Amino acid sequence: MIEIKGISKNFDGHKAVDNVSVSIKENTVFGLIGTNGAGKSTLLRMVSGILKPDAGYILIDDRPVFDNTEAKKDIFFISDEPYFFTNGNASDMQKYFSVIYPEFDTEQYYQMLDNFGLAKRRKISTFSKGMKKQLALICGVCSKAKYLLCDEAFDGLDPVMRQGMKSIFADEMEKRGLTPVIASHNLRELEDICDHVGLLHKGGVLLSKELLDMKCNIQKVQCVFSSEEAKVQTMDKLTLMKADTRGQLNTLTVRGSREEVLALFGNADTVFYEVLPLSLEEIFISETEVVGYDIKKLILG
Amino acid sequence: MISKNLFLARLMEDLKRRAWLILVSVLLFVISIPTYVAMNISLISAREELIRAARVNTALYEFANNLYSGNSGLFLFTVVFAIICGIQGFSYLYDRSKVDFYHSKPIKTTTRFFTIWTNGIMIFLVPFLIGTLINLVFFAANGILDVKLFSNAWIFVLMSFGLYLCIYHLAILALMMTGKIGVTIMGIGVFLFYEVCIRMLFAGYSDYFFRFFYINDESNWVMPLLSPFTYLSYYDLEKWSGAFTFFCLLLFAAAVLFLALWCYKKRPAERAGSAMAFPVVQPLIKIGIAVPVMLFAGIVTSDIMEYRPVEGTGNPGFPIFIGILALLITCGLIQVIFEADIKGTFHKKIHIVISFVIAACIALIFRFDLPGYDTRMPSADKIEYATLITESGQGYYRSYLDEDMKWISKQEYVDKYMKLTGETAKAVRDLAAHSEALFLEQPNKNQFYETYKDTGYIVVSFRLKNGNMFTRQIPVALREKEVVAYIEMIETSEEFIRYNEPAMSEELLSAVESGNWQIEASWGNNILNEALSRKQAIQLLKCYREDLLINNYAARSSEMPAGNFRLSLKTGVSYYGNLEFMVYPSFTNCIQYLKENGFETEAYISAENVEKIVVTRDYPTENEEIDFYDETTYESTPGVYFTADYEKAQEVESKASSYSERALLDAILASAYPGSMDWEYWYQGNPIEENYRISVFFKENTPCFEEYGSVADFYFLKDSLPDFVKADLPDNPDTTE
Repeated sequence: MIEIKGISKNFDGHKAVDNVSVSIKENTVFGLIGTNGAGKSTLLRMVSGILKPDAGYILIDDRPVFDNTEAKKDIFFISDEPYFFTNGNASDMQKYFSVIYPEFDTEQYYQMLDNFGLAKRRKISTFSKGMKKQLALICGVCSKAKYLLCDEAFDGLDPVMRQGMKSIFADEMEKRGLTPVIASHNLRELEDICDHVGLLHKGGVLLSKELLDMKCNIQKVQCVFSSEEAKVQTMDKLTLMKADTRGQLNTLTVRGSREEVLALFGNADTVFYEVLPLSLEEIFISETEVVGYDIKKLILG
Repeated sequence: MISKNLFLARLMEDLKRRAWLILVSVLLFVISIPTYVAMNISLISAREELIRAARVNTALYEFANNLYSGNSGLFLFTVVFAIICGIQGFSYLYDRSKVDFYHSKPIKTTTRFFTIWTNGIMIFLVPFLIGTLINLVFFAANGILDVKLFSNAWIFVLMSFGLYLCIYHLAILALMMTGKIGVTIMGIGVFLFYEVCIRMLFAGYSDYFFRFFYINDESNWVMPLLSPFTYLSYYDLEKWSGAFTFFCLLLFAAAVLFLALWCYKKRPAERAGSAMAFPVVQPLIKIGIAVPVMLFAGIVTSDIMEYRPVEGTGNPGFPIFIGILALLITCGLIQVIFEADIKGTFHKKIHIVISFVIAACIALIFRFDLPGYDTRMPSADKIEYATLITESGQGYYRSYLDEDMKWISKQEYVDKYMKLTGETAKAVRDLAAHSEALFLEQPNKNQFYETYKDTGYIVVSFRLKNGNMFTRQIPVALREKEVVAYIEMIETSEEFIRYNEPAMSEELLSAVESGNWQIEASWGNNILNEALSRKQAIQLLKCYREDLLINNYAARSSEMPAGNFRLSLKTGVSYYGNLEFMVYPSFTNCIQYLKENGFETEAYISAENVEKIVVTRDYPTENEEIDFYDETTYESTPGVYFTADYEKAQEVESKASSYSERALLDAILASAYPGSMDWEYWYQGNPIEENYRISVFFKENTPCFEEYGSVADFYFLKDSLPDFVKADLPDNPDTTE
């Protein structure tokens, strides 16, 4: 488990990360969401032992990470602009990583290069941005590091490649308990892959929750009440997060399980009601608006 | 074992990324230099004159030795290569993506550092060693490799390696403290030259503001303590042994390496791309550079604007203004570099204020002599011994032989041997104290020279009983009553004469007597010179030594030399010394010996040898429009040379008068003195009329003509100007038409 407790980091007087505490459980996909400058990269760079926090601590399986080779062996960090050796090719990278990571799986590496159509002798500098990201992910997977820290790693990947990567992640999670931590400024990128999401804003964590919990505990209901009095009576019984009214039609985001909400509306005096599925985006919008943020501006632009 | 293998594997991986440096190193050390050596061996071996003289091996040996005797080209390459290697190895720290890549990998910081560091050493050392071995094989194959050449080659390798380590580590340290290549290079410049600049500035301010400042050994004053170049120069000057020099280089390199490693560990990764890695040192660097720049600008402007407080000229307004301007520009520039933003020019104004205050305080300390440099003088009871160097041509321009038979300067000789004690030391101290008092009585230097027309200066050093040295250079009023008394006391002291006069050196006498030295000796007045045999030179030198010890101070104070005794000594090809001893009419032993051996002892020329004399008078003037080269005069008296000094031409107008009548020639020659034979004793002051020059044109086929050419320069001695010359060249030039 990665345990991040009260870490802060200042750059020239600017607080990049401010008192962040998050726990990342093993064998889950952790999504780190935030706008540019929210502190995602800084947080990942601290977790991977590149930066030293000004305050707080980070433990990788109970070991501090900064300048600790044993802890770092379990981490592979892919930065938003992955670096490859000048004039190097995929084969050169394999040789390097084989020295650095004793468990580097060379066979799997070349197999994956073939699968993704990446030439092992071609200069990496001639690769497209997407190909470089693929190569970086392949290196990370084959290093056999337990924690794969990906900073915007899925940006620039086409849907087929993304799907391919996701299945590789799933396979590695199943086989050896890989724990990917994926930072992105785009919620849609992570929607179908993450188990747990942390939302960073202005250096702090707005929320950190299991996606399933969030999905199960928030419901969207569209309904038409028979009277104003019925509306007031029903609304009083709801844990209302958001309400939109257009003419007679009410769109309500409410807290509670599907069963609880269905039971409540079954007893209410309505002309019509329907419980609709919520996208991750909508869940976030609702959750963050409750604490006073306009999430659309933060992560959807 | 595993970790060793891992380290080697990492070394190899790192090496792959430094291929071009390896290529440069191999090209130079393994290919270019051995090729150059082979070509030279081939060329020297084919030179016919060497083959004829059977000197091929000697020439080859000289070539080989020169290659390994502090070859400055190779040292320069070593320095440049070390800087490039240091920067290239760690320059990934400038780039965030590279930092992310390397620092996220499971490698200890120290291991990562030493992986890169080791490769930087290997890239230089391995090709260098291979190249040296190849060269030695070439030398051995040509039969010139002996133990001395072999050891010289390896000493050179060691020194180069020591220098490489020092510069390599300095480059790494500079890189660790910065985050951009340009700033790193500036940082290396600061490391290499900051101390020497500060020392030069300090010496410059001391010289500018202290009346009696003197640098005993300029190189020691300016040589930075923390510089590998200093250590190598000490080795070159044979002040330090090879082993000690290498030890010092290693020590220096180790200290810098330790600092560099510490900075590497502490360096925040996020500073990649920033000007400085440690913001905390920014103010120190800014102030540390701005203060000397302001002081430097101030003193340079003072010099240009002729603000010289010691001389009582100029005012400090403009130097202060320029100093402040330089400070603002420097602080602004540095801040712009720090912030990489022109808008940062006047940020951190407090640094400007602090820099100004520090610089102003330093300037004021010098300006008003707050340490009391000019007013301190140790009391006689605190002095262990004294040394004295007088303003004498003999003292400054001749060389001395030491006990190792090496030529050393007057300063070195005095520092090494002169130890005046007792009454002589007291007289030196009192002369210094009295002269200082006379000088300080005057408002400024110019006023001193105005008040006391005949002046000279002395350099006194006192070794104090507490072990400290006290040195001052003091202007001396040569005609002042008390000064005259002190000078007489010193000049007649045997211990002073023994170490003041090069002729008194026992080493010189033994060198002249020894067959190991080639000598050339002559006697004459620089117009006519006669050669002396070795035997005659030895005898004349002995006579001269006896004459020096005779108390003839009073006579020497007023007489001019009768001629000079020149000695050239040589051993080997280029190891020589030239000495010149003035013989005065009161040097009775010398005069008697010369006369007995048929030498002329009068310095003057007979009118029989002279065709004509042209006397030229210079008139100092403020008129810059004067056509100095008076063509009419020049054409009427070809060969008269007014002056080639253009600046002087702006200030001086000259008039000439030509004489050829025998009576007039006799009169002029009776009071003329050879211009090329300077007067000797500093305490005489200036004995010649400076504004008159005598050009003596010799008749053809005379000894003077054959010896010296058609013309020779003479001067009038003071108060001996013939009346007809005065009339022809009066004080007012306009009346001469």
